[in-house]
Amino acid sequence: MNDKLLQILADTLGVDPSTLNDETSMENTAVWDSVAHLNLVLSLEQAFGQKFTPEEFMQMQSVVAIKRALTAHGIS
Amino acid sequence: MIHVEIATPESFESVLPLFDVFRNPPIPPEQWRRLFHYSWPCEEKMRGFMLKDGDRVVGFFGTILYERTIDGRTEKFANLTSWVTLPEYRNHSLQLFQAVMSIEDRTLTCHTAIPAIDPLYRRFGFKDLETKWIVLLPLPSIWRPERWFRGSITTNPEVIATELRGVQREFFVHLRETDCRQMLIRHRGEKCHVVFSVTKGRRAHFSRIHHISNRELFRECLGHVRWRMGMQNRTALLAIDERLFQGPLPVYSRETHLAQVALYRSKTLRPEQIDNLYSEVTLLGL
Repeated sequence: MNDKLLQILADTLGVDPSTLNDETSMENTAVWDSVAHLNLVLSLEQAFGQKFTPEEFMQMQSVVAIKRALTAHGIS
Repeated sequence: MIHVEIATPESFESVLPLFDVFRNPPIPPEQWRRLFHYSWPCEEKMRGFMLKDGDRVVGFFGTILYERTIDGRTEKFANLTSWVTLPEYRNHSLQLFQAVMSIEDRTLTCHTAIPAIDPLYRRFGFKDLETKWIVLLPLPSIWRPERWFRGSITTNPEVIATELRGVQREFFVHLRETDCRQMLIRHRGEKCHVVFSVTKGRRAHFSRIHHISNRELFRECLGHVRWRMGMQNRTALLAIDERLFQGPLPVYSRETHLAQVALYRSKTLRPEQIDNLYSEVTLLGL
């Protein structure tokens, strides 16, 4: 899940996957704006076959939080 | 420390510089001021939310608050407007959206959700408010409706002010200082108050209707209204949001799908119960 997640995040933000890690978040990533976040969540939903709630959408603002949401949907 | 604060009328001067990004078309400061200083009574001080870095305002998401009586109930509205964040703070702009979405006791409307952000609103329960306009085309030049029209149509503000009563008069007064124009149709002992604006389109100027107080009478007098609007305002076309003008298409008209649809979220209202009167459309002259 980790590699797939980082690749999706890198593709969405247009950055090198090697620059991303568990510390990455909206807070410290300038290109991760609201439009990028929408596209990211849509890509994650498509890639993992899940649908996230509005609350989850708002919480998934870091790599750690995204992993937590995916885990809650049974993805490991 | 970056954080979100409620914007109040007193926040206007500190938010104003952010609006520099909206330059197509440019909107003068006195129009932006209308988002903060309403011409109608409003008990709440909130005018939206500000994103702040310390004391500096770096983002804004406006809410135009108003109330209406619909089906005997008081309905509360917030028209969403002017979501803007300085480029270097765009990774924090979601905080503004989150703050606005926390408003749950009002019907929310949004007339300017760009297609890229449209799915974001829908994820938070928004639906189509308006997807189409009815566009009334110019009538043939031989059409001279005044000859047999027994009613009257006026755009004279002094006359309209004396004729309107109750909530319609309130609308008239509240919108008098905006760029909206107003019309009163009198026919068969009934009246219809119409609020519209004149907008420059890509090919021609057109009139756009925002409010029709008596939809039956308006439809009955439509030929005369479109003639009058066209002649008086020098507009070739008349556009009406489809939800305000349901029924068969009139002659010389067509439907136009909007590239940027209007959205709403409500627990109690249907689209046809919501007009554009107290919105960014009228206050900013969009």
